[in-house]
Parts: sequence; C-alpha cells; structure tokens
Amino acid sequence: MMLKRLLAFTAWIVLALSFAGTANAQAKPKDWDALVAAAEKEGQLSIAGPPGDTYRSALIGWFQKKFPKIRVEYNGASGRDQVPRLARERQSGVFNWDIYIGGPTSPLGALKPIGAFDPLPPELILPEATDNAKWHDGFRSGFMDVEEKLYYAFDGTTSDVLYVNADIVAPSEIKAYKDLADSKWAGKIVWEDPRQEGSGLNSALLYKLTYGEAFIRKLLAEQKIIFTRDRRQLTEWIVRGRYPLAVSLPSDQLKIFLEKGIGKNVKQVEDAHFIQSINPGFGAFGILNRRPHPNAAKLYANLLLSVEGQTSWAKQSGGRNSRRSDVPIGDPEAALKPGIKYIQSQTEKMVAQRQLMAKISREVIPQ
Amino acid sequence: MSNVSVGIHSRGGLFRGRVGAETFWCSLVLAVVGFFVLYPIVLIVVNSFQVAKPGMPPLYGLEGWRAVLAEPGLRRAVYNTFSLMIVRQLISFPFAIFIAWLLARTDLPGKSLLEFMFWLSFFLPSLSVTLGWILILDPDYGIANQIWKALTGAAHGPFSIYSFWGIVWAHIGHNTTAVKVMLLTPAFRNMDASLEEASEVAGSSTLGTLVRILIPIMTPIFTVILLIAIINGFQAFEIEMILGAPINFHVYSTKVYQLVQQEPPAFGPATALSTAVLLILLPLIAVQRKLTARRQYTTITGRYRAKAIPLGNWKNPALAFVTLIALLISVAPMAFVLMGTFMSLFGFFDIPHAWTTDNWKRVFDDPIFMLSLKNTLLMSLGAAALAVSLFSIIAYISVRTKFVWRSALDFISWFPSAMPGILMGIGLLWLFLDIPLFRALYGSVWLLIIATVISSITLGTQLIKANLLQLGQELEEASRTTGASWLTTFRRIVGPLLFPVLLLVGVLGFIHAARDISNVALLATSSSRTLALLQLDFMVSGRYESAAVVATIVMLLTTGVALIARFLGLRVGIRA
Repeated sequence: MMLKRLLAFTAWIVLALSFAGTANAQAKPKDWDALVAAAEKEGQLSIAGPPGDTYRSALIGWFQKKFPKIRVEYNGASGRDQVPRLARERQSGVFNWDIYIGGPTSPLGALKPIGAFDPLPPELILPEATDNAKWHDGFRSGFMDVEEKLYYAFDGTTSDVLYVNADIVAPSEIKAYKDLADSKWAGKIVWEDPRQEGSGLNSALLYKLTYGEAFIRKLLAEQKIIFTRDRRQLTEWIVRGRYPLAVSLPSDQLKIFLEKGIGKNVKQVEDAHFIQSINPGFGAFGILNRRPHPNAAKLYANLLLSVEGQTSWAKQSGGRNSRRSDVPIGDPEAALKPGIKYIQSQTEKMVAQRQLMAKISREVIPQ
Repeated sequence: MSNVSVGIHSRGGLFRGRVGAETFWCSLVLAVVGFFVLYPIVLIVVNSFQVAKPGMPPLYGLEGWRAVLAEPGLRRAVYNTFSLMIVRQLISFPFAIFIAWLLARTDLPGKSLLEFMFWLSFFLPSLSVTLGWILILDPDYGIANQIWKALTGAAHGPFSIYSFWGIVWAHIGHNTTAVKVMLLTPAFRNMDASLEEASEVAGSSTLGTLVRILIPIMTPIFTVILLIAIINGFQAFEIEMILGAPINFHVYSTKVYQLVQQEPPAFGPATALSTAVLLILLPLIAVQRKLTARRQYTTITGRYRAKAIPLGNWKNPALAFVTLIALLISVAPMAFVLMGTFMSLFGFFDIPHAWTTDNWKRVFDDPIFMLSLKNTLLMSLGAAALAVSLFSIIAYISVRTKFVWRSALDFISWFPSAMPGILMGIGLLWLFLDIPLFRALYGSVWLLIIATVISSITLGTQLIKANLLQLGQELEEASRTTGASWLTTFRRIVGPLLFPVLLLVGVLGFIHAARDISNVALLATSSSRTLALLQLDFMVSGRYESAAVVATIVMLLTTGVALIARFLGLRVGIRA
C-alpha cells in the first residue's frame, strides 16, 4: 500500500514537472531560440559587476554553465572604481561593457547623466522575467531611476538596522530603535561608517526619516559610536561582544560566522514603528548602450530576472534575497514580509536625501 | 655630486665625447618619463577644479579646494600624521642603522639569513599582520593580556593595540624597520674598510667610527630613506583604518580615503590634499639634492677593500639582539599569516573545526586563480625588469651626466609617490585612454606593467642614485683608459658593483606590482586580472582567511624571486 502511494506520488510529481516544463517552453517567446543562437554567435558577454568572489559566482556561475559557448568577461570592482572608469572609457570612445551590475547610487549619479544606459523594458522579452505577480509589489517597483526604465533592482533584502549581542544585552532592553540614544549605550555601539555610501548611510537615513534630523544629529554626535568601514571587523566585534550593539550589521558577514557555529548570540531587534526599507545593495543592473554584445546582453538580462537567475542570486550571494517571491530565501531575517510597505531607499529620488545624510554625518561625527 | 660629475663630464661619461648625442638621449628620457609622470598628475590637478556635475559641460571653480579647508578634523588628522611619523622614525631609524651596520660591516654570525628575515618581514601582507597583532594585543581578548591577567590576577591587561602606541607598534613591527634595514644594508656594504681603519688609527672606537664617519658619509641614502618615510607617513592608512577606528584616530591618508569613498567621490578635495603633500615635499627634495651635491660621498674606489669588523665579546649579545628583532618582525607575523590561512575563522580557537584546509581549497578551486597567477607572474617579472632598466637610466643621468635638465628628471621621479594610489590610478587610466597608441593595449598586462612601474619610480630611482653616488668615477675612467667600451665598463665594473642594489630594486618592483591594487583595479579586465585583485575579491566577501592564502602565495612568489636575487647578488656583488 505504502509502495503504491509512493509510486502514485512519484508519477504525479513527474507529470507536474513535465507540465511545468511544457509551460516553461511555451512561455518562451518565439524568437528566443534565435536570440540564444545570436548570443552564442557573439560568443562573449562583458559585465562590469560588484567585487567579491561570492557575487561573481552568484551572477555568472549559472550562466556560464548554461551557455558554455558564451565566455563571460566579468570585472568586479566597487562603484567608486567602476563608474569613473566606465565614464572615462565612454568619453574616449571605448565601449567594452554590455551590462553594469551594482548599487544604484553611483551609476545613477554618474552614468545615467551621460546617457550610458539603454531602456530595459524593450529588452525584456521573457514573460517569466517581468511577471508582475512574481515580484514583490509588482515588477515596476524595482526600477530605481525616475523614468522607471533604465536601472532595475532585483534584490529584495530588507534593511536590518539594529542587532544586539544577546549574551551582553537582552534584546528586550531595547524596545524601539530610538532607545539607542539612551546614554547607557554610549560607547557600546558600532556602526558601518555613514560618511560614505553603504549600509551604514542607509541606516542613518532611515533614522532621519523615522525620527527626524535633530535626532540623528544628536545620536551620531553624542553616543561615542565606533564607526568602521571594515564590515568583517564590525561583525567580529559584535560576535565577540566587544561592542554589544551594531547598526547596519552586514548579514553576509554574519552568515560566515554562523556557518562556523558562532554568532548565534547576535539577534536582530524588531521595531515595527521604524521605517521599513529595501536596500538592494549590489543587486541592481542596467544595460549599457553601444554595447559590444547586444544579443548576449539581452539573453543575460532576461535570464537574470528569471527564476533561475534569481535563485542563484538568493542561494549564492551570501545572504541576499530576491524580490521574486518564487525563489528560495537567502536570509530569512531580511526577507520581505507580506503586508508591510517598504520604501526603496536607494532610488534616484532618494539620492539627494542620501547625500544630505552623508554630509550631516561628516559634520556631526566627532573627529 | 659636483666632484663626481665634473670628473665624468670632463673625460666623458655614458656618451663620451658626444655632447649632442648625450643631450639628445637624455632629453628623450626626460620627455618620456616626464610625459608618463606629469600627464596623469596634471590631468588630476586640472580636474580638481572641475565642479560641473557628470554629463554637464565643464565648469571650473575653487569649490573642491575650499571644501578641503572646511573638512572637519583635518587639523587633528595632520597633527596625528606628523606625530606618528616622527615617533616611528625616531624609534626605527637608530635601530635600523645599527642592525644594518651589524649585518653589513661586522662578523656577526648568520648575517645573511638574518638580513633575509628582514626582507621577509617586508613581503608580509599588512592586513594579516595587523590582524595577528590584534589577536595578541587586543585589550579584551588579546593573548598577551590574557596571560598578564592570569599571572597577576589583574582585571585588565596593560596592552591595547587600539591606541597611538599600538599603531606605532603595528608599523614598526611590520615593515617600518624592515624596509630601512633592507635599504641600508647594501649601502653599508659599499663602505671601504680603509675608512674604518683610518678612524681607528686616529683613536676612535668602533661605535665612534659608526657615528662620526660612516653615518655622515651615508647622507644620500639617509635622506632618501627619510623622504620616503615622510611620503609613506602621508600615505599609510591600512593600519590606521583598522586600529584607529575604535579610538576615532584619523590621519591625513584616511581623510583622503574618506573623500574618495564619498558618493559622488570627492576627487577634487582629495587631489587638493594630495597636492599639499607634493608642495611639502618639493622643498625637502631640493634640500636633499643640495645636501647630496655639496659633498663627496664616494666610498667605492679602485682601492676598495671589504673587511668585516670583529665584534669580539659583543658577538653573542649582538647576535641575540638582531635575532630577537628579526624574529619579532618576521617569524612572529609570518606565523600569524600562515595560521590565518589554516583557520576556519581567524582568531577563533575555541570553535568546532577551528583548523581547516578549506581556505586553500577555496582559492585553488576559484576559476580565475590560475589565470591570475599567470598574469601576476608575467606582470611582476615584466615590471621588475622594466623598473631596473628605466630607474638605472634615470639615476645614471641624474648622477653621472652634465645634462642641464638632470635636476628636473630627478624631481619628476619623486612626484608619483606623493600622489595617493587611487588618484594616480585614475590619472593613468586617463592617460592610457587619451592616447590612441595605448588605447589599443587597453586592458592588457602590458599597460599594467607600465602603470605599476610609474607608480614605483621614486624608491627605485633614488636607491640606485644613492648607491651610484658611493661609486668612485676613477673605476670607470681606469677601465676606459685601458680601452674598454662603455658597455664593457658597465658589464665588468659598474654592473657588478651596483648589482646588489639593482637586484633589490628588481625585487621591490616585483612585489610592488604583485601587490598593487589601485592601479590594477582600474586598468585590468577579466583576462588580465592579478592575484592582488583576487585577494581583494575575498576581502570584500569577508573571507579574510582565503585572502590571506592569496597573500601567502604572493609572498611565496616574492620570496622565491628574492632568494634567487640574493643568491646572485651575493655571488656578484660586494661582500663584507
């Protein structure tokens, strides 16, 4: 009886999968095969992407396996290095890159004004990639530029603002994020430096948006906060308890510690009244114009937004999530929750706010 | 310099009897070096006045320069920079002089091995060494403090790496002392034993001879090392960034870094700050040139004799002293680095599976490892060869010819080191993109070689120059009197005498290229990526242990090259 049930179940699974396969095949646009053939004929795809072996593997590993005839030229660097380089290359008539992947602020600030991006929607021909129902808050909500057509954030990781080392500070001791201003926490907080672009600035901006400018000014100026640009050091400090409170703790770094069996004492503090936001980190991209491999770029852009591309992002990027709801979750603590309204804190509309927050940080942080 | 130069010019130098040809070739070198060095710097400086937003027509103004004056904490950072610089040099200089003298001029046992240990210290990666010192000297969990607390029952240990003195120690214990010993030892080795003998005959003690005779006659190399130390003082930031954060300790270079890291990057103010360093350096370079030109520093003549001074009863204490220092700055940090590569999480000893080979596996399994290794070898060997050739020519023109613009050439060779790596990298990127000839090579290893050589021009050129000043011209004259050509003279006389320093410059060129990130990050493509960029990849991902593996591989490559260099250097060069 048991065996019969098992066989029936297996048959059902095989049938369901074959239907799904057929549906997928049917979901492919009619010129998809021609696109694949053209991309393979080009034989190369050039991506200017984020730094780090983790991102490199998450963004191109699956594509290289799927299309071995297309060599992926991947240059990983931070926006600080990548954007001035691309801008100058284009000024000199060098158009080496097909796709730019990285945090939105730098490319929107320096590449968009020089007209470096082509509109994305005409390139997205795979229905699965733009299926509104599969993206949190709809597909369009991922566009970072004002025109909603040039730069798209596929990452759906929430901004986890505050963590505590529960061995030293009971999470219940902090009822709301504003409690951080209590003088008893002075000298016990570590924060990724908000004077530069990154998660630390994002957290400072959210504090400003939630509690106002006067609050964040006072907090940064008076709480003897330890600011660091070294994300690993920040994580190690809270894990060891050297500083029991951490703002903008990088979840990918904490994951490294958790994998080795330590850091379980580090707990996220919840505050439902604090502004909830999505911080795409490096998980956003645009298609560059005058690209050398237009078909390979089109193929990649479609597949990057597909279940396959986003599954790789969620599984291999070291604790990042996708805005797609039909792929695995990379970091459950930073996953998007239904019913909650998140703001996108890195859109072009927010650039001025971010720059103002960075300026305030430079002004008030004691030096 | 004048004595040396006049002699050479009156009787013929590199281009004997052909002033026109000499001027032509020297002018060509000046034009090429000047172009590669000044073009990017001028572009950066001009661009620092550009205030228009991206995509808008150029607009020039002083906003960037004004912004730097209003930069919060700048005065404090400058004060910290000078305090650190002065303290580090006051401690490390006397130690380095004494150690280099012991290694080069005395019968200290095992001196070749001991000298090499200082080289090893210089090859060690900064980040891993700093993390190692944190492991020992962290005020809470540092091993030294734990031991102290266990022994004394005190609540707190006395050491804190997160302090002014902790930062001083991290510098001295890493390469502040090592690099000085590396640079001073060959110069001490070039001393003629007759100088010491004359001093002793006049009743001076060994120490008195060191202080009154040897040290003054080494003014050229001392001034070079001092200026390089000042430049490094303005540029060093890795250690300050890590150890200064908890105590809010900023220095000049962390300010520049902060400006470049802003969004959008504040290249204008960063350039303004860097230009200030250049302005501080210019008079110092002028003084250095004047000092070295005023006197005769020749120590290697036709009557040169190498002789080791017997240490007598001081042999064992001296050996213990040098061994202790060498172990402290090379073996101990190397143990940190190697340990880091085999730990699951660096510094965490009490976790399950604390020791692993996974970090090595992760690096070897990385699909771009082999290509990065190949590129690194090609680039570093190319850079070493080009560095030795180019810097020798520049140094030779500066010291041995009557070329009217030789001072300009010498000045120019200082400029790249005054610019922070990231700014020089951007300048070189512009240079290579603006010139069609280079655009064809854009992204190739060849441009990386040129970029890394330009950025390392100062130390190499000045080292060769300082050693060339020690070389008496009569050796060359005697050779030519016997009918030898310039080439034969160089091959048989000058070359072997300069060989140790040329090899040292080659090794420095190799390691500079192998470690360079700021130039390479802006110019490399996936086909020309190097191990330094792979190391950066791991660091960005928070995989410090795998980054330490890559750093160890770079260190092993450099050590291999250095061993070959030393073997050749000791066979061909001068031995005491």
